Amino acid sequence: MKQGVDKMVVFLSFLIAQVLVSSYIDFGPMVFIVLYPLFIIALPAGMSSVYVMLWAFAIGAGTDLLYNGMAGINSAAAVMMAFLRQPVQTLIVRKGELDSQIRPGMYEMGFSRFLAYAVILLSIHHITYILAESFSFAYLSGNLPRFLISLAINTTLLLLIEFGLFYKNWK
Amino acid sequence: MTKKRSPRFQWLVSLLVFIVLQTISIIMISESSFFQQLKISGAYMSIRGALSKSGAEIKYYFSLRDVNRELAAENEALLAELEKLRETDCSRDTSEAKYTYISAQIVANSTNNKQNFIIIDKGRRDGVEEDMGVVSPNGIVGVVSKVSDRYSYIISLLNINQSVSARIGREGAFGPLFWSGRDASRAVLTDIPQHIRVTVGDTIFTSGYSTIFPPDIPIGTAGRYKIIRGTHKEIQVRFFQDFKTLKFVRVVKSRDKQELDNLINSNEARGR
Repeated sequence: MKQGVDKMVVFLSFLIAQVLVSSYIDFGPMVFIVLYPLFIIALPAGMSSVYVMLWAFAIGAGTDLLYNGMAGINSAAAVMMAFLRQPVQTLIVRKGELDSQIRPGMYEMGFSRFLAYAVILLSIHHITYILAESFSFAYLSGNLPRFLISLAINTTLLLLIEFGLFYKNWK
Repeated sequence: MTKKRSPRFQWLVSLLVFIVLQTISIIMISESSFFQQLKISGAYMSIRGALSKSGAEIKYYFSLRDVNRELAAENEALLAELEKLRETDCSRDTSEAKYTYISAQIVANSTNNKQNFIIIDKGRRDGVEEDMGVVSPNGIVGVVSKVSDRYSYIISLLNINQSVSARIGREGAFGPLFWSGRDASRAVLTDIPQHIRVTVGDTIFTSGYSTIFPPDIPIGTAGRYKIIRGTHKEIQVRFFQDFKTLKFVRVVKSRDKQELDNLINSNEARGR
């Protein structure tokens, strides 16, 4: 029960932060900033991917509805990312290394593995986001720099937030 | 968390959930006009209205200097125009203008998507209707997509699915102008015949061939061009309007829109 409340608080904080960032920070058409992937990335390691997808859909759809962009883009990207979270996890972490209830964070995984984990999932998110947005492959060449710039910025932000808020052992 | 089930069954369940959720997302994308209506309806706007409004107010306060300068410049231009008109003919009946304007303030705006939208604080109650054009002192801004009682949802010109009819100079060749999706200050004017001469710095105006925008509104200046497949020119256009600092817009109300649309529709019906 208590864990559920915790998760809800984290969920709402990420949602509010994301909506504020989307509405007030605007660096032009080459960069989009997303914060909520960290929420999906850091759900407990053993969580069934059905639940992960439902959480991801909730935060994606929430962002879509509270922001004045196209509806459905963030939820499509978030669900795609949640669906592929389990395979990416098994790719990076050896079996049995993460306990099933543990949060796959920077402290638990180590920096380099966490970085790889985050970058792969963020790439999945960004590719889906960009494809959903233009709804075709026609703009792919123009979107490549957008993808790379956004990926770099969002990875940096994700690492900073992870380090600043969730990295337990840094004192 | 979950009971022990066979992994294949679990995998199938998650695949099913994935497909369902992704389908919902795609429906949301394709039915976006429904969500636009939802987003400016009363309940939704009152949820985010307070937040958005106070944010906009703070932004507005800090940009007063620029706004003042813009308004003063526009005032000056209008006065000059008025003077000119007064000199040329004062006999003409100007009791009913062809275009009237409803001024509005922007509540939400973005430039960092491929499909950008703007919300303004005027709606049906103030006379705004769907498919009306939206302009600013420095050019055109977009087209009204959905209207609620107090707010309107505008498809920004910075939207890859949006195009307007534009022409080079006051009486030059015309073609569709649309955003390329890369730079908030640039657009592309295409379908210009190859023999038309274009000089860098030529002003691009609205053509007035649609019922949405009045003619001869300056949009931007022509830049470099390239020839596409040997048939037509594609010209880079730099906007006069900076979409990031946009605060005040005017919705264009065309007197003859209804009549023209009826004429076009009846003609099309007869052609069939």
